[in-house]
This record gives sequence, C-alpha cells and structure tokens, in this order.
Amino acid sequence: MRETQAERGVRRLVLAGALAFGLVAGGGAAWAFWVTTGQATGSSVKSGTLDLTVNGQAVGTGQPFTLTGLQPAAGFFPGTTAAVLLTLGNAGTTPLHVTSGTLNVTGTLAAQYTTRVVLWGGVVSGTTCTGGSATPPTTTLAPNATETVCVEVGLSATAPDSQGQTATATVTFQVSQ
Amino acid sequence: MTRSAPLIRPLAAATLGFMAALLAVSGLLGAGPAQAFWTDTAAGSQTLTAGTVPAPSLSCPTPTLGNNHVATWTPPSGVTVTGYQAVLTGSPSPTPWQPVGAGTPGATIIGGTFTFAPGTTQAVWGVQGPGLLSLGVTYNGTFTVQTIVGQPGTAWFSAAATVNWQIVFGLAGVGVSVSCG
Repeated sequence: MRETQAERGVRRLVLAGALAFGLVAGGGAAWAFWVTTGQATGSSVKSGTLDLTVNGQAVGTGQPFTLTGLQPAAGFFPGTTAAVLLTLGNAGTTPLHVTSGTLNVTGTLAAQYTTRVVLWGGVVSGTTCTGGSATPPTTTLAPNATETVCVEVGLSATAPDSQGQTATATVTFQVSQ
Repeated sequence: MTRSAPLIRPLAAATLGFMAALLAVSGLLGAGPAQAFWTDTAAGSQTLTAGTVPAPSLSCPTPTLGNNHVATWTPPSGVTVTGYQAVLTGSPSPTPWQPVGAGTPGATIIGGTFTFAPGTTQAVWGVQGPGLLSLGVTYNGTFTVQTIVGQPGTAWFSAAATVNWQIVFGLAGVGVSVSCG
C-alpha cells in the first residue's frame, strides 16, 4: 500500500487547496471587517424635568414661593375669612400629577383658625372660596399648562380675645410624575 | 436509591443558586422605577395677624334742653361690629339722672354699664333739675364707649373712647355744660 507518485501529488493538491480556502474564508473575512471611528460634536443628552410653579414662583425642585393675600388689611377678627387664588404651573418637560395641596396653620393662635379650605378649580368670592373640588384633579398637568386653586383661611367666630396675636399659614403642594 | 442520592445535593445547590439570581434580578427591576419616580414640592407661608378692634370715634357730648347730654360716636371701619358697650359714671350719685324725654335721639341711659345694638350711635343722659336739691350742685363724670366684635362670651372689646362731662346748676337752676374732654 505504498503511495504512488500520482496519489502523493493529488494529496498535496488537496491540502494546498484546503489551506487556500481556509485563508480566504478565515483571514479574508477578517480583512474585510472595516473599522472606523468618529466623534460627534455639538450634541448632548439631557434628562427631563419635573417642576411645579406657584404664581410663576418656586421654579426648581423643592423651591418655596411667596404666599400673599391671606392677611386682611384690618387683621383677623372672630369670623373673619380671607381667600386667595393661586395658579399652579408646570415648568417642567414632563406632565405632572398634583398629589396633594394642604393648608396648615401653626403658632399660638393656630387652633382658632378653624377654616382651612383648598378648592381645586374654585374661585374667590369676596373673602371665601366657592366652587371647585376639595380633592386634586386626577388628570395630569401638561408642560406649560396651568390650573388654579383657591385657598381660604378663617378665624373661628368664637375665638377668644387674642388681638394682635399671630400665626403662620403654610400652603404646600406636592406633585409627581 | 443509593445511586440517585449523590445527585440531590448538586441539584438543590443549583436550584438555590438560580433562585438567588432570580431574586437579585427582580430586586433590581423593582427598585428601578422607585428611583426614577420624580416629585416636586412647593410651599409658601404667610403670617396671619389678629386685628385690634378699633374704638369708635366719640364726639363731645352736646348739652340739650332739660340738662341732658347727648354722646355721639362714629362706628369704626374695617370690622363687623356686633355692639357697643358704654359706661356712664358721675358724681354726685347717679340717682338723680333720668332719661331724656321723648323725641331726643339715642339710647337713654343712667349711671352704669350698657350694651347697645350695632346700629346705635348715640346715648343720652341727664340730671334732674332744676330743684332745690340741684341748686348750686355740679355733676360731672365720664362716658366711655367700646366697640364689640364677636359673640357674647368670647367677644373682643376695643379700647375705650372716653369723654369727661360736667353739668353745673347755677343758683337759677339752669344747667350749663362747662367742660368736655
């Protein structure tokens, strides 16, 4: 079974062909894999913002606003109420959902301010709030959109004589996505 | 049984490892939305100050015929008045004081404390005379009035507006008001 000269030649030819195919199929593909790099300039990725404003103030997360309009010129007397209309705005880039709006009164005379009203969509009528809803709207507030809320505070008609005493009213709104 | 026992331990370990990995992945997926949940809060405060009940503006009592005085006051503005409280004092004893006759405006009073309705803005008082007991006698005293705001029991009172008054009976028995302040 000694290999003849012809058979040896055929075998060498087959090996050479296989080697050539391997080079073409393997190395050829590697040579054909073009690689390039580039750098994009002038563009940036920016995240969205959620920002509630009140009367155009409180711009930025967690910022306060200046509350005015809840102090009668002559002061509070038994049965006196005061109301103010606040405008909530969405200064962010994503719709926001108002989750709560509260009116708290603190100070030595706080317990006598028994009238604490927050009416969504309500209006000021004299020194009180009318209309609207006591619960925040279920719909979201679109960017650049606004909605109004009426806030009223009042001293009890049976408040004991406390002339000149002070309390602090704080209105807080919370929103989320 | 003896041949399958060695397989239980690796299988249990593999199962526990798979569950641990699953829990870790689910934990990451669950924690993700909470961190991305944006919120904002805006708060504003204002000081609320209880007012001071203003006193009425009290004019000098006007002497009238019959030795009477008429005190007139102007209601204060900016508050809802629920009444007025007036106090009349005098010396000698207020006993001789008597209400003015019909036709004189205002509430007639004698010595003491009186409460008037919100619409009342005048009070009238007088002394008896002329008479033998009044000749040469000078009656004087004070009249004060306060604004009342609120309900009885918890009402707020203003400072008192006060005037001094005097009625002098001459020998002829004629009453003349000589001072007011």
